[in-house]
Amino acid sequence: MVVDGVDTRVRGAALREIRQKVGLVFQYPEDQMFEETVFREIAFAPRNMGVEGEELEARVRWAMEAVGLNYEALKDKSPFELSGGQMRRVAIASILSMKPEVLVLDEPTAGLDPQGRTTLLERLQDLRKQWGLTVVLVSHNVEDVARIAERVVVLEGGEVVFDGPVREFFACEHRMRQYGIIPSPLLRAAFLLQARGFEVNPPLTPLELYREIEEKVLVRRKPCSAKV
Amino acid sequence: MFGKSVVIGQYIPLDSAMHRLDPRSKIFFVALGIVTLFLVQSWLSFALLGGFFALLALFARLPFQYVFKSLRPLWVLLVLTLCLHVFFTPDEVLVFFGFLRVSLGGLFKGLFIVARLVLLVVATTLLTLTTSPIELTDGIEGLLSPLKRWGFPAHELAMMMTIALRFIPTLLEEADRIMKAQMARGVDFESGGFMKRIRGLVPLLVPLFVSAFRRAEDLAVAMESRCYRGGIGRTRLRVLRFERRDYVFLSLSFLVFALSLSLSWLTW
Repeated sequence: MVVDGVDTRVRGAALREIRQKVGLVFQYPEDQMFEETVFREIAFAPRNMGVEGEELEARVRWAMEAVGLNYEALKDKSPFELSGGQMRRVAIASILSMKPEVLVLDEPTAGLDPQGRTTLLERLQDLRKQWGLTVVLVSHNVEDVARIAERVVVLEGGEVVFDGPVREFFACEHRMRQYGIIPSPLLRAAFLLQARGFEVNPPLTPLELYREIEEKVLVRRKPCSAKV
Repeated sequence: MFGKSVVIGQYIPLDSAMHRLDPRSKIFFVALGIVTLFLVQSWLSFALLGGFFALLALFARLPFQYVFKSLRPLWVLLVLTLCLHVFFTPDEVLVFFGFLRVSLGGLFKGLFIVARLVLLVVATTLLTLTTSPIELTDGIEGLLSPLKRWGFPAHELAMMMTIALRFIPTLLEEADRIMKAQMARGVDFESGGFMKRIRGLVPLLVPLFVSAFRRAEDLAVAMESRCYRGGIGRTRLRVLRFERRDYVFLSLSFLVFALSLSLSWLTW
């Protein structure tokens, strides 16, 4: 694998720097927690990199706020007392505190309830937009991808079979099914309308679908008698 | 550190006379074999026992290299034993290597101990290569069950062993996963002094224990929800039964062991 022009297979490659540059969040990352307090947990990685004192505290504070956790309220709690969604976010913060340029997450929403899932995806979106991180999201969940992705890469049997903008990927039902990906109900509604002859663009959010329907399907109807 | 190369239980599933034997008779055979190996004192007995074990390996249709493979982790011990005996037995000196003296008696003694160790390993390997871990625990439970009368928890012990065996690969995988995750957080497991390395294990061991406890709890609930409540009244899928072949095998073993014992007393 080549990271920022450095081939990781080369012996003596600067793996430590790469590990710092690319933050890796494994599946169920809360399984790797071991410290007594949330602060220590999140400070662990930067401490290993030699960060200390105020800089350390600033990083922990930043990482916690970036994932939407209240620093003052949670820093002295045990990570094992938190809810599942909070634990997941602490685990992600414990990687973020290294200040990586790229954040790779393996199925970060697995096992979370709908609310935890929404919060997490929003925070990831913010990381990208506010802090300019590159976020690589590994997911089987079409809805998660539709919600936050810009570029989609589909892997099949270890090979890249698709690489393109998210809208291009969701434009073709046939291709999705070919890769064994079942379109979300939202997309299926759009594809159904397409089959009926309406030129609806595949939506990424319910709002988009609604707008499309309003614009392309409802216009053909006579306007209501009561004028708006 | 933990690769896929870690194989727990070296069982080779084949269909052979040795494989089909009741695990209890094989365990009994190994126990007796070990006792005999420690009692015999002559080369002739060793030759007899070695021949017998080779014959059994043949019956088990085991390729010989598999039997010898199990000796590989032992070679350091074997070489060390041999060297210690060769160099430090006070006897007639054969050759001088600087300050080291090689004595004839020491050489013989060393080889003798090495032969004993090799045969011990071969005997137990015959058991572990032909008996699956499940059969093995079943056999141990069977052998210990007479002690139940005096309150010995034979079934519970066997169940614990089965579960432990079952979870070794799982925990290894888990350890591997956690290790990679902590390496992504900048932990260095490989360098640094002794104390630093020991402290480096905390981020690995704590999560491993946490997950082991969680798994244990889940397993207990899963077992209880399937109405497991210990050994009382529990039936088995495979009931252990002594067949004719077990009697033949055990009588033959008795014979060989007795013969080698008497040989050793006669020729010593």
